[in-house]
Amino acid sequence: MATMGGKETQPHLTEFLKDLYHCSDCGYCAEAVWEERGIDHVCATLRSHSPALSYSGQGYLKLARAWVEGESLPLPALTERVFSCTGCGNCERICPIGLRPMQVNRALRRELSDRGVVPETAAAIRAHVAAEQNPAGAPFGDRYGWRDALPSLTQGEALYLPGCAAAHGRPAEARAVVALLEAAGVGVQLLGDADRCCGAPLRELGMAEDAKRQGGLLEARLAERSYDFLLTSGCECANTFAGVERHRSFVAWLAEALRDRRVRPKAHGDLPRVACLESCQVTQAARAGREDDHQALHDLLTALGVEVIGDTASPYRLCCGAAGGMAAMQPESSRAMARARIREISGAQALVSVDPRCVAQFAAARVAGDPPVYGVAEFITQHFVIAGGEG
Amino acid sequence: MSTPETEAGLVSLGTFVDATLLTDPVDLVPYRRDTSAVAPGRPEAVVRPDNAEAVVEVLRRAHRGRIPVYARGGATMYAGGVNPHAGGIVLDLAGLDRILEIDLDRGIVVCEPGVRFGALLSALRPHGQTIGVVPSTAPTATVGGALSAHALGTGSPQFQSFGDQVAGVEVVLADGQRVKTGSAASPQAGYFQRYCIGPDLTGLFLGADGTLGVVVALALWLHPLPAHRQTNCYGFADAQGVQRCIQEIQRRELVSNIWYAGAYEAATIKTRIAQVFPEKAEGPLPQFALAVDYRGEADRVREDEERIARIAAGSGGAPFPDFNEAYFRRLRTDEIYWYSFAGFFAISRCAILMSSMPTDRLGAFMEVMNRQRQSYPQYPLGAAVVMCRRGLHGGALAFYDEAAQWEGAVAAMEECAQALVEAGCVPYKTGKIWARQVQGFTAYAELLRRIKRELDPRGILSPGDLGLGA
Repeated sequence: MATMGGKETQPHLTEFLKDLYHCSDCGYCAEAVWEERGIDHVCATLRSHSPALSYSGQGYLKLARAWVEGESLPLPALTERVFSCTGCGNCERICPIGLRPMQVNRALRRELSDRGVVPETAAAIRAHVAAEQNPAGAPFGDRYGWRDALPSLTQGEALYLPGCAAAHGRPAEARAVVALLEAAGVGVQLLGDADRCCGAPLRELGMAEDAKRQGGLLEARLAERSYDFLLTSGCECANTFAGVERHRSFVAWLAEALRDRRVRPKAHGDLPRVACLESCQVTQAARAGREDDHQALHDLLTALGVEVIGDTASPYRLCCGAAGGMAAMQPESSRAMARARIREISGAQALVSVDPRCVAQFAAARVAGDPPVYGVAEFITQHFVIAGGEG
Repeated sequence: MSTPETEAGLVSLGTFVDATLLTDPVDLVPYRRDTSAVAPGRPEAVVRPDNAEAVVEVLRRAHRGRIPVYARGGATMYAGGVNPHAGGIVLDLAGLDRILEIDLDRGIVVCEPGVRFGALLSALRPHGQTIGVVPSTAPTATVGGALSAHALGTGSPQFQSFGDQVAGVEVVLADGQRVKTGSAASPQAGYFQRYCIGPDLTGLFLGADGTLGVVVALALWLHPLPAHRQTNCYGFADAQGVQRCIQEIQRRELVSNIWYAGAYEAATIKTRIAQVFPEKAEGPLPQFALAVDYRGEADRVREDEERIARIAAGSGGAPFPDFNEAYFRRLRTDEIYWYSFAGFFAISRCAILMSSMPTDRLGAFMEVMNRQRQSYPQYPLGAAVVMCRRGLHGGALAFYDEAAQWEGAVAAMEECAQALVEAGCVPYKTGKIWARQVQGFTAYAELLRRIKRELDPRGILSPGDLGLGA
């Protein structure tokens, strides 16, 4: 059986030695239950896959340490465990001493990927991104299929990147984003055939070099355009462009446009009671000090008169299973995670998320009786009449 | 190392339907150790049963195949009890996590051993009830682990130890036989009374680290949720003062409204104050502090608080509001300070040695700590004491860098263990870390071995724990 171990070095894991040797096995990242702090079911992977701790943040820390210490571990099992993490980051939020199990998982993926050891499905994602510019392998020609009813958009102050998730998984959200931008009087341009995946799906799989190369392709296409600001729907795309000066997430732009009354939605009919679904990507971005798009969503819906309820009692919401390549690599587990997440929510008449990837995931997992799921732009365009800006 | 007999036994486990069997080496890695500094072991399999019948079947087969079995709960203990030094099976009881019965008339909750304290407290809260002793590792610790390792913590001033709150257990013996203890030995009676029928057989399994049987259900006494909370801290110039104060509180039994009380020495005080009031950390600070968390009816709490304030003053203590603010109102509300012994692990890995002592040995305990500090300056040593209804539990904590200092830290702790016994302290949370000292209590150890031989003739249950069957 193929194994890892022996005298090889693990440069990506070395960065995390402090985490590996400080972990004291408290188990918070695996199976903590603490009502007063709203803690329960922290790890969606552990809950959905197996009771084996090797499918948890605690397990990834232990496996990484064993590997760094030269232990031989069977490769197929190690790879399967490591590529089962959604990367939701709950383990890092809850760790009482600030350790980074999720990042250790990503470092493990990188070590394995550098050795050419990835699950077949992960290799397929890489091939899909190379061939079709999206992780699901949807035909590249469909990327802007949602634009059919819209005019050709090649010039404008806003360059809108729908991202793979909205373009292929939730085209209604991409269409609604453009509608809201236009209602605000913003000129919109799209990359169209020049569009490329930003590389985020490869980064999640630990394929850092591929991700960098892929990101470079998109950067080159962006450099050929002239625009005032860059707008993204996908939260993983937003993380790719974090720190880029002219980049805004769509929800951040929308919140500002509503405040400035550049967009004036007027409700038609009764508004549903909404639970805002948190995206793990947004939570991680907010923890890293970037804009909190969840708060922006909550605030803008409340300002529009929507009753927003908490989506669970717990601050450690289960991951919906869309992230980390799980939807493609382990579709059954991924769907089970989405079902578990939906079951956590009670009292909502509609679910809204800023992340089209989560929206697509929930929509695919819905069964009769579940509330409908919307992207933020979709929700607003469907429940409000949109008037343009003042003056 | 696997023998053919072991392997055959393990293969036979694969036929289970009510248990998850893990044998892939990748899956076994996280089950090698607990929170302690005790050396990890290497299990050959992990079995996670879904019900008590599966536990029976595992033990029957392990007994036949002479396969070591280490019962494991949350693995948050500091003594290495679940570290599988003899290999074999780790019996992961976290899957037995049902609360079987909440009987408000009898004041009893019966649950499986894998129930985590956080889940149990949540289930009892709507009934206005709680349990007596809750360890600081409550979010992940299991009630079965607490029973097997003599948990302590909040509730110890009123109730002493977790075992004092156990009304009876159902245990699976090494050969697979199921037995209920206490009043539940009578099927017509069920759980309500521990001391009845004959000797206290429940006690055999408390603090036994799984060496004599595997507990598959336990009954705990319920208590009303306290209505009021108040905290207070007092500073003392020396150990004698805080010792006198605790002795007087215990002598007058002013403990019925104290949920938690701990004594802390100068280094800990300074660290805690520095975390919240950095500008005050370099100023004059007491050498010892007594921190008291009262819970109960408001008027009774106030009465006790006034009495204890007078006792503290009479023992040379003075109110220490900064420590009260830092310790209770800030730090203990953080996750960190609920995580394994008041957050000490936040600093680094930490080897912890828990001992029990009469209150009049506090000074002797501190002397051992000071000697250890001089002998091992490379492992910063912390000391803290939890007040119990009778006596104290003392924690010796050595902070170390696990990548570079592990072996040295363990050796220092072994030396500390022997010194503590010589100073009149006794092992608590025994596991493997105190194994040598247990065997030093010759007559006690011989009786323990005789009981072990009777209940576990093939020595399959937790070999190495309590120094048995290593």
